[in-house]
Amino acid sequence: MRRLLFLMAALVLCFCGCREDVQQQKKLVMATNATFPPYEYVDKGRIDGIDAEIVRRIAMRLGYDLEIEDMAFDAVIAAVQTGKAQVAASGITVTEDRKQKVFFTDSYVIAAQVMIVLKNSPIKSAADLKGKRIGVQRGTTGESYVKDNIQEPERFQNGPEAVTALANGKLDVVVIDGEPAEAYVAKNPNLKILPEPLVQEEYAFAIGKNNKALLDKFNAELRKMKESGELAAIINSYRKTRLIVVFPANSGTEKLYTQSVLEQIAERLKFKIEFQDGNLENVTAALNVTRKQLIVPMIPLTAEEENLFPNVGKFTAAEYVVVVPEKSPILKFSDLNGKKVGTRKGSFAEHYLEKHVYPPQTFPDAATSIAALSAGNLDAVVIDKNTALNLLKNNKNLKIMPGTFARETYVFAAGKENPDVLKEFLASIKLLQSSGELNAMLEKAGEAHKTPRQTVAPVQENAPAMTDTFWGSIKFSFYNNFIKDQRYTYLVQGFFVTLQITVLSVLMGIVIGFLVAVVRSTADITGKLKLLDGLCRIYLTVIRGTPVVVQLLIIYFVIFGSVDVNKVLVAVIAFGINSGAYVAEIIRGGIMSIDKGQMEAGRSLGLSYGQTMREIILPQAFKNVLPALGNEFIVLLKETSVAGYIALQDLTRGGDIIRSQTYDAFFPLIAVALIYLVVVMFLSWLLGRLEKRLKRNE
Amino acid sequence: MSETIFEICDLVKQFPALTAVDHVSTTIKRGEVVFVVGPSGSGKSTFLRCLNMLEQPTAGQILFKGKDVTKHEISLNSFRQQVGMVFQHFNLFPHLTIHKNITLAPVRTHRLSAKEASEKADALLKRIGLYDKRDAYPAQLSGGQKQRIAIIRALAMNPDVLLFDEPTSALDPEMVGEVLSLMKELAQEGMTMVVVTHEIGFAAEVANRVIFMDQGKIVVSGTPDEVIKNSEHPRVRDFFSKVL
Repeated sequence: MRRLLFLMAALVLCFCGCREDVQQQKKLVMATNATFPPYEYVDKGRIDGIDAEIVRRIAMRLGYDLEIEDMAFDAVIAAVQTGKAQVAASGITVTEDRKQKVFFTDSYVIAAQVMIVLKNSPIKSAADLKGKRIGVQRGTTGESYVKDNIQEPERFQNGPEAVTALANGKLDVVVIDGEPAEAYVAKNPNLKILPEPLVQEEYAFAIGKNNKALLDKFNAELRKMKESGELAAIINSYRKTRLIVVFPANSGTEKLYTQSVLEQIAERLKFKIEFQDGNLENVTAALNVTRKQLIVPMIPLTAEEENLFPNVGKFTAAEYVVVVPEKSPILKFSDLNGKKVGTRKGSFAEHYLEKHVYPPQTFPDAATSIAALSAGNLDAVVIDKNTALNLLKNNKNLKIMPGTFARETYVFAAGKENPDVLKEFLASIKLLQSSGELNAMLEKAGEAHKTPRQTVAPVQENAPAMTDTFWGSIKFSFYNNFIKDQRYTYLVQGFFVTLQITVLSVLMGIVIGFLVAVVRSTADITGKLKLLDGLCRIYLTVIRGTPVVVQLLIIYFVIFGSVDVNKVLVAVIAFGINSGAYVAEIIRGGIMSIDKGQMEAGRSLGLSYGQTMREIILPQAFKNVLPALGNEFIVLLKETSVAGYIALQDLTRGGDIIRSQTYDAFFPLIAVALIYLVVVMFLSWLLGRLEKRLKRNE
Repeated sequence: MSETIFEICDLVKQFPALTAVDHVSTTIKRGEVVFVVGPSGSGKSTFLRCLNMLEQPTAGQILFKGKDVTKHEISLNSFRQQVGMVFQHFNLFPHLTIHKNITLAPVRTHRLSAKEASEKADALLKRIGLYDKRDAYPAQLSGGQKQRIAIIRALAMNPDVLLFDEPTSALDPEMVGEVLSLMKELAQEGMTMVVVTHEIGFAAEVANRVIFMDQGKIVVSGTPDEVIKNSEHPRVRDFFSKVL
């Protein structure tokens, strides 16, 4: 008991500590809903995006410590209104309704609401929407526009959930902001965005009506950023062109080489790069939208297939030639078969020879292979043309065979609305080639290949290919949901949050429950403590008469409405108070179930009421109610799954985050369910053992 | 005559539906063994429970060694430490060992140190031949054993008086004997005892004085011979003719 009290005290101290922090340091809390790329999204556990970056810079300049709170979109405006956050930045569209509630800064971007539909959808434009199942994200402009101008939409907690519903045929169309829509569609080849946006809108940051000073400061900073071009630069940097590299399912070792080359190019040109395994169909499908992206199909394309792409550019990074001694019997390339051929280790030529001729002898660099050829240890060397010309300047005994042995060529394809993206890209990559940078990259790619590249891109290497077989697709789905980008960490971290909340609220529940039960039974037995008893009755009625989610929201938004407080603590208080009511009634039942002769025996021996309660009644009552208490704690563990309502990333929410990234419901939900199940089974087993131990004396 | 333990004046205990104890007055002296008998519902158990304030009297006085324990300023706990009680259903503490059952109260009320209490408990257990049950739990004992433990649990407090509330009524017949013989031993050692019982034969053998109660009132009070065998009172004669 004393230890429990100590814990409570610690909680209270921690709570006071949090309050002090706010007052001492200048902290700026930004409310957002991080499921809205590129404006805000979770990347490697951190909230990033255009909004986050702009606010981060403004906060820094104004001398604030920025803290970003992730919550449901419909809560972000409320958060600034109640003062939980000072600024809401979540791709918020300026509307008249919202202007009533909060101040808006100058807009920093003009965006569009677009329609996502299935590839084969009959919906062609906004005119076809009437009567269809329309999904929207709750609290967005899309929602109010559809409601006011078309019909009642189906509302979803966040964008990915709506898109998942669409992909699963539960909706006909999703109305959503243009930029996140592109990101969603990029991951799902069965979806497309209709070319014509539904409506245009302005984004701005929201600030509480009581904080005009902050509004002015924000506007001043925004104006400066606009004038200096910084704002445009930030937005552009988040709207980077994406380079999507598609490998055939059975790609061999040359995949690592190609990856390395393209990664270097992407990094140098400030592109985002993604690697996919797939077939040509996926590739063409991804191109059919007007997105700033280039597809790099590493799949050999026939001329006919190339015609599928509206804008295709080929780029040859290097040409490889064959170097032979002056009087070599090798006259044409087919003579190379069966000869000792040397090349630079890790180069494109090595992979090419391996695939098309037979495995070559490899050397750490081109010069060494040429030396080996001069010494007569090799019959031929395959290296890139520029290097060959350089090395052969002073060597009259070797010659370059006429013609090009192999070309290291990349195909880049852009969507039909985006020929400029392709042109710009080809222009910049040619610049890299003429400056020699590209050559260095090719060499570096070979270098990297020599040492195992696990540390660079382990994920892509181990990725199982998406196949059509049942097990293949399950394997892929498992990989995609848990292994890729270490998504399992959402579950692991969520699990610990859930455990933390459960354990602490169980402790708090026991303390409250015991106190209330003792007050209530004392009032019943002795007729004293009437006032306290009345208070306890009110507590029990209110807590047991309202849903725990509502209690949680009230504690977060009303009771701690204007205080900055750790959300885990809020959850512990809410669930602890809730659980306390049930525990109190369970324990009171236990106390009342003890024969009143026990109390009389204790009192007749001269023990006080409290001593008798502590030494005689409560130990017996506790033993009797242990199964019921255990059950209550199991219920509590599962009830904490609503902690996501105050944007706590517990286990359930962890699964939600994975779902929002993979648009796959099966594995994340089953995994979350299994984890709860295992914990509950473990708890039941533990309780069984405890019961057995306590039963020993009967 | 020796010291007065209890002096009861005009004791009344009313329940909402009935008057269980109706203006009872009597005196109990040190060393006296008083048996309270009478038909069921005559108020004898309620009277006994008033003596250690398990029932709050409605009116009247109970003077314990000269002090009125019905007054609020008296410490009930320290008063009860001097008045042992043995219940019909034993009321041992099922979650504690026999030894702990006996030592809990003396230690917690600071009447004895842990060591003294432990030694005293062992001595008492040896005396009644149940030392081997020292570490057993109540559920492992027979009814007669339980009741004897309950008696020495009360004795361990060194009380001035022991109250017995129908101590053998819940026992199987073959176990009554062992409890009665322990009570007889205590009586012979000079323990002050107030016993509510239906064992009239035992009362006749052990009592200094027998009180016959009916409808909350003391009908007659006197030596066993006077009350049990030779009472003139028709209700008393009627009762004993049925039970003897």
